[in-house]
Amino acid sequence: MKIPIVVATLVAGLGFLIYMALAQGSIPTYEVAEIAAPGFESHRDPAGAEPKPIRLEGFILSVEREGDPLQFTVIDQRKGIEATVRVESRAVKPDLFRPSAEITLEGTFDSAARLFTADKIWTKCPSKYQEIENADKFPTVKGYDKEGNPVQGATGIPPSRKS
Amino acid sequence: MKGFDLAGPFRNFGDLLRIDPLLAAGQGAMLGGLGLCLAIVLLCVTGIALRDRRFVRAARRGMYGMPVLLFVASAGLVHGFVAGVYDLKYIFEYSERAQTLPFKIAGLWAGLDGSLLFWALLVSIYAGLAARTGRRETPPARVRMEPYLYPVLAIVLGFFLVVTNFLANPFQVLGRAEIEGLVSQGRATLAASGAIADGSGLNPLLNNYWMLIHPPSLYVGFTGFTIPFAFAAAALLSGELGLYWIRATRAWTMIAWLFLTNGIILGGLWAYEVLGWGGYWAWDPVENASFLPWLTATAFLHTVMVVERRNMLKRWNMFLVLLTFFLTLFGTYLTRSGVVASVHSFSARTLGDCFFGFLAFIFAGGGALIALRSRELSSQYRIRSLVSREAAFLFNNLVLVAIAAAILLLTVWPTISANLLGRELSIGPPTYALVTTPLFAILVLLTAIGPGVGWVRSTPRLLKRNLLVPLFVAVGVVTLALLFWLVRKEPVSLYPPLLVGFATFAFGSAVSDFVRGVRARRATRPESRVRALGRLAVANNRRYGGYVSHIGFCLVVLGIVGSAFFREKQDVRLAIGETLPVAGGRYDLHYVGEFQGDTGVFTRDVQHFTVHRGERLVTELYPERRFYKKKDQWTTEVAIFRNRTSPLFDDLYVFFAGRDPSGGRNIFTIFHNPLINWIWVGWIVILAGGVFAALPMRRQRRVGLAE
Repeated sequence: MKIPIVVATLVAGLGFLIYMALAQGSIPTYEVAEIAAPGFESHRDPAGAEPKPIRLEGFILSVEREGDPLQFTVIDQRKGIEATVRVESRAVKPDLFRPSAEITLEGTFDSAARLFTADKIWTKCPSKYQEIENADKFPTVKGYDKEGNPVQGATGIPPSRKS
Repeated sequence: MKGFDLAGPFRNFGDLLRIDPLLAAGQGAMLGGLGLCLAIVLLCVTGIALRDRRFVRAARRGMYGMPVLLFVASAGLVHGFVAGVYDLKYIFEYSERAQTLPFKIAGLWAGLDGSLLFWALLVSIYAGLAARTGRRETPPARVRMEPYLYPVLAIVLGFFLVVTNFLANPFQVLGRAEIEGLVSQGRATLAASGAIADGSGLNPLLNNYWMLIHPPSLYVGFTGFTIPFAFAAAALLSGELGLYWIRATRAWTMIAWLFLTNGIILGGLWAYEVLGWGGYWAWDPVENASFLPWLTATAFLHTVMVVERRNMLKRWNMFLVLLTFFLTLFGTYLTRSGVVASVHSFSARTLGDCFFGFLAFIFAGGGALIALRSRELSSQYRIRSLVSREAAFLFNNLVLVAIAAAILLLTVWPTISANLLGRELSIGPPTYALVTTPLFAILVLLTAIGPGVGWVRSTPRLLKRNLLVPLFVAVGVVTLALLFWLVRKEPVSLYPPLLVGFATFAFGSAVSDFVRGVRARRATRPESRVRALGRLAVANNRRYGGYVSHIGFCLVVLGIVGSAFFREKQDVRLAIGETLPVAGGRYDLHYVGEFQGDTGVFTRDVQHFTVHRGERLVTELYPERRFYKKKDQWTTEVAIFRNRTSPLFDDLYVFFAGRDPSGGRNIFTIFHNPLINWIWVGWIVILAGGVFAALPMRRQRRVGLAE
């Protein structure tokens, strides 16, 4: 019977395809403290030319520069760990981007310059009653409305206004 | 078990009696529904033990009561939204006074707790309708299956009601301490009566008309698979493994499949029109979760024909039905438990364990039943030739299930790698595309070949007659496409010409079946072409409805190829007065100006563009950013120009990303998506074909059901 041969071929082919795809496309995820540790370097392919992208998870501590490139600092949110990493990005800024937002970045880390260059930025919608560790480290200004006036009860960055 | 609040429903009931009796009725009905589920199970078990049909009839009538009770529960909750009873945690979190009525009603499915009640309501409506098909006490197979059918339905419903009553209760009343906490945080204010004055409002991203149609359609699809599952389980339990269960199952699967197809594509359209990244499918776990049961249900709808025609593949079909239901629950588990991260994830809670347990129960129970009935399900026939209709169906199934397995593995890969390799490994859409594109290509090719091959075995003459013309047309189209690309010197990936070629082949194969059918009719009857086509289609509505869906599928493939392989993206910074050529000079985008506004709920920042083709003004576009004061959140409104007059059916898509603080320019992302509108056209065609195939037109079918 030929059916089992066809099935076996399909399964083998699929297995190989998935293996190749995962080997090629897997992007490791790191916490801020891991890449802030000395000696960390983005993985390079054998040719050593282009560093392979990694993901970085953390919270936005502060935004140093709005605009192009965007510059900000992310902090490790886990208890008892104090680590920050500077980030630079030309990616489109998500709507929920602001200090205290939980974010995931994809890009490369230059350990010499201690700078993460992000190609992609995602924000996570914080759940309502979530307690943020290290909350005391975040800026005391609570937020701004559209006119740039401080607002109570919210965190945020001033919306840039047309000059 | 942890997280369970066994006293919760009773406490809520007491509190709600003081607040609003209608809400108390809702909580009461939700708890009563759980009691009724238990009663139905007990009645059927007694009926089976005593061999007394009266208990089963009572259970059937009890099943009619389920939708009534859950309608009261849902209506009670909706009443709470409309009346603004913000002392309920769920209503406080997902609603506010300023919302319009439709969005207050949509609060029912806006969050986790309510969406599970909504899920239970839909299952109960299906269950009530399924129970009603038993009232004629015929055919005998249905009667013998009945004592097992209702307990299965009641257990599924009961599971959801245990969750909504004790674990994620939408009727939960905020305690005094919680209210004071919210007030002290400035998140709530109190009215003179001491009740919370206003809710915190729906997530602005959900404040969109798609919210009113996409989740209900998807849920009606998901929940619909409960009935095929119940029939399959009842057939296994009762040993009534003849043709009755499969016919009953097919009809219900068809309905659920239509709604699921609709829900999935609506979700894509929503993402496309709202999220601003120019695409409609991101391989997000929730999207995948809706796609998995679609794949297995599609597989079932194909091989069910093999069972009916040749009495083969019964075990496989049973497996597909159970798997489809399992995957609908598994998707819910994935996205409600926080096992995988997703943009859609509801907040992680103890729901995970509860769902996992139920999933394990379904998986183990279903597997054991199939194993027990394995001999009765095996068929006396074998597939004799690889070039036969049944083999084509089998291959189609293997590819569909392979796609589902691959997507499932990739979806849980971050979780697997985190646990097995000690490091979470993420994968992006390119990895999904790498794995699934070749499989989809094979699927499209099988869509072309399948309808052309005959049952049992095919002669070369038959294949030539059925497939030669479509094949020639397809080869012609591919050659033209390749020449076009070579002349324009665009980089040629192998997939676009291959996929378009296969889709053309499949399109031609479906159309040629219509042509042959009309010819055959006209050879023996004096009918006009139109009348022959109409009568042919009505007489064989399942077959020709199916082929219409194939044609729609080919159009969707065309749209996906266009938008996935030929999308152009530009990130630009523009100042007012500038003009930008886009889509390789096909359009000129002129930045006219901007204006601001305030609706009370949000402030608007609107940008104004005109689109020109040569000298001609084509349309005006208004991409926008909104700021929701209460939620302290920005959202964006994409502006899309749909070119309906060109066969390219392309979209010009302008996303207002923000303001550039370093200068007077604004940041935009502009996409050009060729052929994308064929996806939406294909969607309508698939649905039209599916509805036509699902209509009970043939008299024979009624006779067949009564056997």
